[in-house]
Amino acid sequence: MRDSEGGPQGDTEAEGAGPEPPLARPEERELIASLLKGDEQVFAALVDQHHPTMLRVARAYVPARGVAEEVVQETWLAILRGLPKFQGRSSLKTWMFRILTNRAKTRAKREGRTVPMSAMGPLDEDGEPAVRPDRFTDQGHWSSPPREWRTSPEQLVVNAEVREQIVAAIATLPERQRLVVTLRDLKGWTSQEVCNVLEISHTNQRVLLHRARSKVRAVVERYLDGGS
Amino acid sequence: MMMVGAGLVCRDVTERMTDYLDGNMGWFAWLQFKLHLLMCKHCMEYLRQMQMTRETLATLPGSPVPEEVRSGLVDAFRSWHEELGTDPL
Repeated sequence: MRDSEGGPQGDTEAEGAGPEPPLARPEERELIASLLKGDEQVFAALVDQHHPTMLRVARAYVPARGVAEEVVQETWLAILRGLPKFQGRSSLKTWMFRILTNRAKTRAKREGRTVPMSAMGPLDEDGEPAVRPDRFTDQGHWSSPPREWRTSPEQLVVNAEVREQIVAAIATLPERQRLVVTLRDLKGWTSQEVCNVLEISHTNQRVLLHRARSKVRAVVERYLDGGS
Repeated sequence: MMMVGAGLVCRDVTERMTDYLDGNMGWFAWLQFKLHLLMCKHCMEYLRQMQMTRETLATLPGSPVPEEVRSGLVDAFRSWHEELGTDPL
């Protein structure tokens, strides 16, 4: 299983002087140079940043937690082995997660699971629209409009109970919605990154994200309205 | 001649809210959407709620890495780097 971006092995010799990946962005070059110098703090920060996400993505392919953890461990080793040859054609994150999904898929096949994300059931799993249909008239106007949230964005963001509600809501989302909203809205991935790593179409991604966000909003609404 | 919010009802607006927030709309659809929002305080409130939801999501902390896992990986990193020194590249 190739862990580098692909292309002939001869690339490594032909391009760039020194250990810095020739095509990478400046901030990534620094990061990689630090890693190649053995900077443990930089590596630990990278682990803190990506390890939980890698585990989540792995579990989309191999749900058993122990197996997913093994896949992620192996991935870190593969990342380190491949790092000296990393050219920077893609971002480091994309490259890392590509290694991960390749390994997860291989492992999934070995475990007898061959279901790719794109084939996992109907797009929105539960078929619910963003807002319950009975809140609209037949013509599609609001019959039961959202009550104003009498809170500023700043107040809402720090409201501990609301945050708890949101965390709980995310945990109850269907698996793919949970994964997409986590990557997009919690981890700040772009839609392109999500589509690349999860190998789903833009349409799939948008629907999953929309469902997830709508559900979370509905949970906050129920909480702020004091239970409807 | 502007077709003011023509054909766009509130239910449609709530379904397309993510496209709007993520900048995923053709300009004409965006214009219709914007015009609807200007005229409809309910949908405007719904948009505000979706924005606040998204903002709050962005501030949720990531899961911590268990200490044994973290130190195990750092150990592996140390070994890797030691070997790197001895490997001709």
